[in-house]
Amino acid sequence: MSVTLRVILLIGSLVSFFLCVKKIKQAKLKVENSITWMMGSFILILMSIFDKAVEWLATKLGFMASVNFVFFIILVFLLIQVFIDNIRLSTLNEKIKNLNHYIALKENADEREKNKNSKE
Amino acid sequence: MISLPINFGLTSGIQVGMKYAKENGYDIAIQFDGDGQHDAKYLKKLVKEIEKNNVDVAIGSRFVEKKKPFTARMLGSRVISFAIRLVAFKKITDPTSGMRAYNKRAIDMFNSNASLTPEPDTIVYMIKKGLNVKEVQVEMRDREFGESYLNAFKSIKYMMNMMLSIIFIRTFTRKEK
Repeated sequence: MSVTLRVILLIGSLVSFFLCVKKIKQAKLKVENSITWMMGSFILILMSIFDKAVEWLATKLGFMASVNFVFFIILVFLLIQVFIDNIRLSTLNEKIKNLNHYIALKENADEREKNKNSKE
Repeated sequence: MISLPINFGLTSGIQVGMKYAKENGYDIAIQFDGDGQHDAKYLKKLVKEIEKNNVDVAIGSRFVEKKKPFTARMLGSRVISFAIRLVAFKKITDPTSGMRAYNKRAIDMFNSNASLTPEPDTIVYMIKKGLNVKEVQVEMRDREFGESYLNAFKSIKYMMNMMLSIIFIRTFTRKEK
């Protein structure tokens, strides 16, 4: 890995790490949602520090260059993150839908109750 | 009339109807297009099938006795029919029909599974679960007002959704013991 890439990785992951901490302090990010981001940036920091280990692992796994290996790791991490977010989105969608149904049914029941009372 | 505070689409609308039917202990729920395509006089025919012939889901079909025309619009219908035949081993002549009647068993099914939609893949699910699905000959008019929720781009998306759902998901639906 070239020194430039190592520096960029290091700065990038440090920035994202501290951004996470800041957002948690501002209560704009939940701790359980930030764990994956923290882990991701931590792994990137480790990779930029121990570049010899990365190179060794990359050649063992058959990557042409260790840079490719680093990008591959980032790609896998992002795919997992997107997938988790997709599941979360579907769950939220389902919850809103049920809430929507609940309100509508409740309003309908209230309306009928009112009509019944006014007739009596 | 139940009005939902947020527009969540056709499926959500049907599901809230099914919830209402279950809560109030209805025996039969009817799915019906409000754009003038369907004639209410055929509903009796559907309900009769459920009451007399031990049918669980009755579908109003345009092509039980008549032939399906070879138009571009019917191409999608043909493809879905073929997929249903492949997966559920049953001939459904008008799978996209929006005129359906469901009995208590089908209503319960709607309430216990949130992935059920008022679309053809649900028919496959219900056949696979052992429900008796039957088609009844009805006439349908052209749409009088409103617009179909399917345009060219959405039709393709709709077809892909249906094929994916029928072939890759509903194939693995098993009958409960």
